[in-house]
Amino acid sequence: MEAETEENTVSLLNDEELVTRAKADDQRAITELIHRYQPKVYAIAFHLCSDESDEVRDVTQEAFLKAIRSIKKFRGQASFSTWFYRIVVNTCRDFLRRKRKKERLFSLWQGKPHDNEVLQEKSKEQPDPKGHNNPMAVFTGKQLTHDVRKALRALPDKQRMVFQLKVLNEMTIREIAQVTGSSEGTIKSHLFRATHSLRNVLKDWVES
Amino acid sequence: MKPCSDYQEMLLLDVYGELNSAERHDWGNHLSTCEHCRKEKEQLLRLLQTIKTALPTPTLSPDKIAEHVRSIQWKLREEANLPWWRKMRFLLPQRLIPALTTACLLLIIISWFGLKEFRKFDILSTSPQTTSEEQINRNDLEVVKNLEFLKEMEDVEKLVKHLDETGSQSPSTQTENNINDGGDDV
Repeated sequence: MEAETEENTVSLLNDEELVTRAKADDQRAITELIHRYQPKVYAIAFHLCSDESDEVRDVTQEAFLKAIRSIKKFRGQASFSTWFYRIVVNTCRDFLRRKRKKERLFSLWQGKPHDNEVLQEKSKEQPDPKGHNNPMAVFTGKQLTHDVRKALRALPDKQRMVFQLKVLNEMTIREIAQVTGSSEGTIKSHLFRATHSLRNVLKDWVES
Repeated sequence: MKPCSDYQEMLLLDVYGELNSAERHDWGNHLSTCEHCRKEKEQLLRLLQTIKTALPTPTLSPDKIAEHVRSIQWKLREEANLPWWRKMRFLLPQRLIPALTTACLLLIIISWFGLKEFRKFDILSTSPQTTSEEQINRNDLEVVKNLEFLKEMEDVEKLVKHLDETGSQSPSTQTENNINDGGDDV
């Protein structure tokens, strides 16, 4: 009963209070922080790193562990969410770097899979967003997903990251600037360039 | 169809919902008069909607969230029980670990070969000197130790010499003595 009341109290606390408690190794505060940020962090990792749930879970877990290990170093100069999302973004960058290295290594003796194979594989993993039953609509949906992914993959890393954080994770330009450690002008420049590139590549989808 | 170049940034900021109230007012006035910009805005909004539809943000069920939280807590408990030297790796930036490992390995290899070469050099150049020095020292020690013996030897030599001398002289002396004795006896 007492524990339940304590849990309810913890869930009512704001981030700063939770962080203060977490710094003193309060396990309930740490658990509450994880609960509070899990969906958002999962979404960021899903869009930035991978669409495979196991990999996303690993990246999310790594980001939380890094943040909890270094929570005592958090001085509160920025908000906790900004500080934490910076850790998440950096963890995603590291993950992508490792993944690319592995891919490069394996591609030396394994032939790269054909684009159609990638499409088929991805189609299996990705649930149909609209839940269409019409085979034509399903195919169109899958084709669109494939084309959008391909267009995003073709963007330079920084442009892609900024675009995904803005459009898919719905962060503001200021938040993205704080999280990535760049100026707002730079973020705007990356965002606008990415938008123009995507517009050119996905012209057929937008105009049809 | 291209939007007005002066308003391009405003168009994009509007599409991303980043205009402040003053900018929005100015932009609104322009939009009401410019069809190009209106169409461009529509197309960009459609582009963003298409991308969002193609890549929906996943939603985690409460069970999944609870499962993730449990796995993170389990990892934290596991880390807390690690010995201090294994916790050290968490203090180092992950990217530095392979570089540091490589540096350590190189250091070990270089010091191993360096030590080998040093030993070889040691055997080739310094060890004969050491053995000859040792031999000299040992000889000196022997000389010192046997100095008294040599002195004794000198004495012995002198004695032998003396005896030899006396030995060589003695038969004649003996005969002389004998003659003298005999003479006396006779």
